Amino acid sequence: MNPPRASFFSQSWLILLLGLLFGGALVAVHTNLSPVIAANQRAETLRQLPGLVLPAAELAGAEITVSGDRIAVRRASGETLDLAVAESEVAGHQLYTLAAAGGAPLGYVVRGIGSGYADDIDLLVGLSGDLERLTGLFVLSQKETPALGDEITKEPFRRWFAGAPATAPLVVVKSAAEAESAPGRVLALTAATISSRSVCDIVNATVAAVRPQLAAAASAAAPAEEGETDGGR
Amino acid sequence: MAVAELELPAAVDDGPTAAERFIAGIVPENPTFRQLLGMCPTLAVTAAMKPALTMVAATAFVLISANVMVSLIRHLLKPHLRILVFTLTIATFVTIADRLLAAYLYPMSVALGPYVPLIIVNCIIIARCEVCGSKQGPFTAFADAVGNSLGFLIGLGSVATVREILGMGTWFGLPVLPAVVPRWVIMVMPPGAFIALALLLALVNWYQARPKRRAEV
Repeated sequence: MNPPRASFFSQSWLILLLGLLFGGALVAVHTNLSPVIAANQRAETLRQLPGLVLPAAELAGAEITVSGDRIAVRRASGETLDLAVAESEVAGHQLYTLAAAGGAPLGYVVRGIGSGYADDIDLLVGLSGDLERLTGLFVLSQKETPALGDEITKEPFRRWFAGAPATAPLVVVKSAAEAESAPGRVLALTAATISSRSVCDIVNATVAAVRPQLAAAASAAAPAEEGETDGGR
Repeated sequence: MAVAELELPAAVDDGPTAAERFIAGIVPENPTFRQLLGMCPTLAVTAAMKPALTMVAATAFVLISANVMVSLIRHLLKPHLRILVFTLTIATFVTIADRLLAAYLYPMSVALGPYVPLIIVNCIIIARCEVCGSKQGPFTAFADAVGNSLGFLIGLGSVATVREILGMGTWFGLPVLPAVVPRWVIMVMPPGAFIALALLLALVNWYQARPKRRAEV
């Protein structure tokens, strides 16, 4: 009988070798494709920004074009709204500040990542310019259970987030009547409570981390702007 | 018996020829209609032709790559570890397919969502590795994988054709039905996948049973 160690290697050498080869191949693929995928995700993120900050009525039938850090929203009426996007990082979260060209911020969009049922959920959450309420939710990537957990990407679930207060954590509830009774309540998806709760946890953690810093920055900027205005008089 | 004593039977290179494997995968042993394998994507991503064909392309890439790879190492496989090797091989190529889609077909990658990683558990692939890849040479394994990929294309393409035309009046997004024809919205919803698959299976079974019925008459 072979000694245990020799037996282990004689049984598993092919798997170990394949693991090394396939691992190397995946590293090469990841290294080469990651920049392309990141660029795709950034373009997708920028395309979603107007919908996460502006009211849905303003975007009905609108065509959105992204060019660098500018977003052009061409409304059905023919009028074009030019938006400037400023990217920064706050409390470890990617922050997109959306403003009309030369104007005050219209709102903020923050990227949050956290654990879902099957894999990480990567999402964008919109915050109003005064930081008082959420203005929307978009799921950038997820691998939740098809036809159950992946319903988090769809409008019937996302609608609970637009208009919810940003000052208190969202609460997941299981009855529609309870969800309708007050803002800030999110109706859990049937048979996908963990996915629903995961999204709310990610949104709560993201807003809790980013909002105080944005509020502090806004209040620090306000007196300075007043001073500049006074000085101008 | 000690595990180390187990050995795979000698490779059966005198099995079906490459041409026979290729033909068998397309119609006689069609993975969708004759073997009822790969039902998850058949039902889940066939609401329209574009996602269905993207799924076929991704599955074909994994099937061909895994089958040829398994064939190349078939003499080194140990019987009790072969499923582990198949899974490792398939998972690697599925990850590569997933990353390629995310890089070069991003909207389709988003639309297909978790169904691309789920190719790992597609029974067509592991079945071909077991039936052909682990027993025959790389050329035969390649022909077998291409034939089965074409069979899978026929399966998904036919279900998606029925669903998209009846449900949306389009094919590949192009209008094919006049506006006056009512749309059967149910066909692009989950029940529509079951209805379309059942009707097509019934049609295939009816067609295949015809010579037998004639002979009986």
